Amino acid sequence: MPMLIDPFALLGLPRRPMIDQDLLKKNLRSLVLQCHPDHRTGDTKMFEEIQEASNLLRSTPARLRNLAGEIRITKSIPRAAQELFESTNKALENAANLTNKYHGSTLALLKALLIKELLLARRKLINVQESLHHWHRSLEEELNAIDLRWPNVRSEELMLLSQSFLFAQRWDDQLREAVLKINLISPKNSS
Amino acid sequence: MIDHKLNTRGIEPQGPIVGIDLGTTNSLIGIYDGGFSIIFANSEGSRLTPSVVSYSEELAPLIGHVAERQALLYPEKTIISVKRLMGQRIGDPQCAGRNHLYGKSGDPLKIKLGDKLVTPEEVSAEILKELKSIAEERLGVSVSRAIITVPAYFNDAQRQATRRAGELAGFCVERIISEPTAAALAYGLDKLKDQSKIAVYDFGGGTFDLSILKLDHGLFEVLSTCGDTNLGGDTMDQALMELLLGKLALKNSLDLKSLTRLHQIVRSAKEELSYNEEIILRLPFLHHRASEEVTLTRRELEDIALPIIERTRSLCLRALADAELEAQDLDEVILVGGATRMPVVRSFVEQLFCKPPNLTQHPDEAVVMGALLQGAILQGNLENLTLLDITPLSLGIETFGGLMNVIIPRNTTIPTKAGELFTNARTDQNKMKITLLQGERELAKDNWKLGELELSFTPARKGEARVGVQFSIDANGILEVLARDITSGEEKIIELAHAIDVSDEAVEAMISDSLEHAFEDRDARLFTEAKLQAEEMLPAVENALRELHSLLSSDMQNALRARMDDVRLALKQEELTSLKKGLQELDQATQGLATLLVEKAMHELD
Repeated sequence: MPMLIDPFALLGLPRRPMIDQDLLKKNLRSLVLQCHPDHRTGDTKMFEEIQEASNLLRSTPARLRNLAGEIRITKSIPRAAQELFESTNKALENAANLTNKYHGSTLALLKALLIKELLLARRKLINVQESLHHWHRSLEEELNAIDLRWPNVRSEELMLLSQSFLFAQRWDDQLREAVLKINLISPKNSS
Repeated sequence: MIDHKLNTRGIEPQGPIVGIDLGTTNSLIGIYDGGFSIIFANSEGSRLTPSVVSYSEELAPLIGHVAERQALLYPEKTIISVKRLMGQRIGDPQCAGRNHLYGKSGDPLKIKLGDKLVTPEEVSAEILKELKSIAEERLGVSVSRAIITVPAYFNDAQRQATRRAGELAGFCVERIISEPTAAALAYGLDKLKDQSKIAVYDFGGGTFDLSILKLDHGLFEVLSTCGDTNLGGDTMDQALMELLLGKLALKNSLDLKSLTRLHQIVRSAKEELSYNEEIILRLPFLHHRASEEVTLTRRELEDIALPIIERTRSLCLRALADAELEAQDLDEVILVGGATRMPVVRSFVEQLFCKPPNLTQHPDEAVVMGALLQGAILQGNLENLTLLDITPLSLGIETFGGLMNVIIPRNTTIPTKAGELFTNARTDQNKMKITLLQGERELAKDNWKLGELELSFTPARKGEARVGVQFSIDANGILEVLARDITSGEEKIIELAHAIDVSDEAVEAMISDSLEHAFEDRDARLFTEAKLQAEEMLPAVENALRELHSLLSSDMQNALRARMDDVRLALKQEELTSLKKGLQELDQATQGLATLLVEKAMHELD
């Protein structure tokens, strides 16, 4: 069920691609203090709406989608990121295989034999993460450019950028998760 | 049962709100009054009331210290650590090793005490009633409103069961709050001007939680939480019991009465070893034997405790990652829960978070202090304090292919709501079943099944009947489901058929599987297990020898090869005893190799 209220208006922010994060925090804080159900001025429904709106605004893909007026999420991968997608997948798969193998073996010796490969897998993950961050920076620049042109922006542009951000974030989450899983096995070394 | 809805701002029961810590081992009750936090002492003068209940045929149940003494005489009628059973089904992991349980696998859990059959909620209600009367006696007025604390990682079923226990005890449960959050509230009360990030490491009798919070001028925001509802001081008691039984060569031969007595001895031994390096246990007449003395050292306890404490590491790292913080970003790590008295826990936390833990909070009392402060907030007596808690577990539904589709992710600020639209898959389909799940695993079956929802569609062509379902998690972390028929505009609150109330075939299958194994020839099975282990071990040692060739003396390599030959010979002769002995020796001889391998890998990749 989509939001009916304009999340930008609810949190007192101008309706445009870039938002002032500090202002969002400040306005959210005062609204939360006012609406939290524990207080006399409390209003659970309002509180939930504020949380939903701030979650939407904080997420760049959701924010751009809202500006484009789209609800649907298309699932195809942006052409520019095809190569990155493949290397991300490979690194993730390799890491998942090794971590599963590690947890599946019962002997300390077998586990120890896997450490070297695991450390290599982590190095690969971190390399992919770096190229992903590089892509993410170029997306930020694009967002900046779109914001300067606002409101002269087509909704297809917004949707494409929204989607790129969505994939960048999802892959980053998955990579971070995979690195964390290896870190849980082997304490961090200076990599 | 008192019938009311939480958080309704209409007519509410009158009177003060008390705070209750309903613990695995001990429970406490208190109130915030006139600017002071007060924890009430029971009739024995203690603020801790043991969470022990003893039933008898004629009299009302006994609770607390007196029940603890009854446990020695009538262990079959006395129950401890009932909190671990809240919201569980027969066959769930928490039931392992428990006495008194009754029912078919997958059934809601019942406890058999003497000739009485009770539920975990009813037992908890007895403890709550006792606490209620302690508060009423001290205050001189009747008390009917309460805040009750639960482990942060409690799921919906466990929270519901706790609320039900409160209602059975005659309370209007104003709020269920998380224990580490409560402890943070107690810690932060005199730091309202500050801005800081803290972690609460809560290691109690039965559960472990780690919560990370941001304190910002009176706004307490929980950023992430992670935990294990089956990990605590209890776990260490069990391991210590086994060590002691081994020392006394008494394995499997003690009756319930002696076991109960030994358990109490073990518990106080564990506590004493936090202050002494070595103690002598006097064991009176266990199992018709003369009384005897056993020495126990702190070192022995720590060897047992460390692997258990180690299990908290990944949970802490997960919570940090979820909060997008590093250990160095935290201003304080606050310890609460009885198990954090152990020096070995304190040094573990110090090493993990790279700073000495904050010991300003009373390990047993911080949680109830927070609960009574929350009571004061709800009554409007602490206006400058606001608590923003989160839901610890992701809420989702089962999709095609048995996957979990997350609807509300873990660590979302509560209260919260999320919607999902369902359409009919074929013309004139009038019903649809949805399975609700809680947990973090990808496969639906690996998560906790909350229950099933049945949606009804108005008759329509395929894809045209639509029902919107709204899932809300309230400030107690408890779920409510509202369905709206888009076509007719009709709304209704759906009762969740709780998984706890229906039997679960999967659990039953698991149990019968394990029973089948029991009938197999034990020795044959043991040999097969040992053989598999040997087949895994021998090539691993070969690999390790190859990797470490230049680092090991030839004497050492020869010694290892000799151990391997022993194992190979035993395999050939199909000799169980010598195979087990050989494997054990090989395992011991290769222990250093594992460390060497890890060091070598780290060194090479640095």
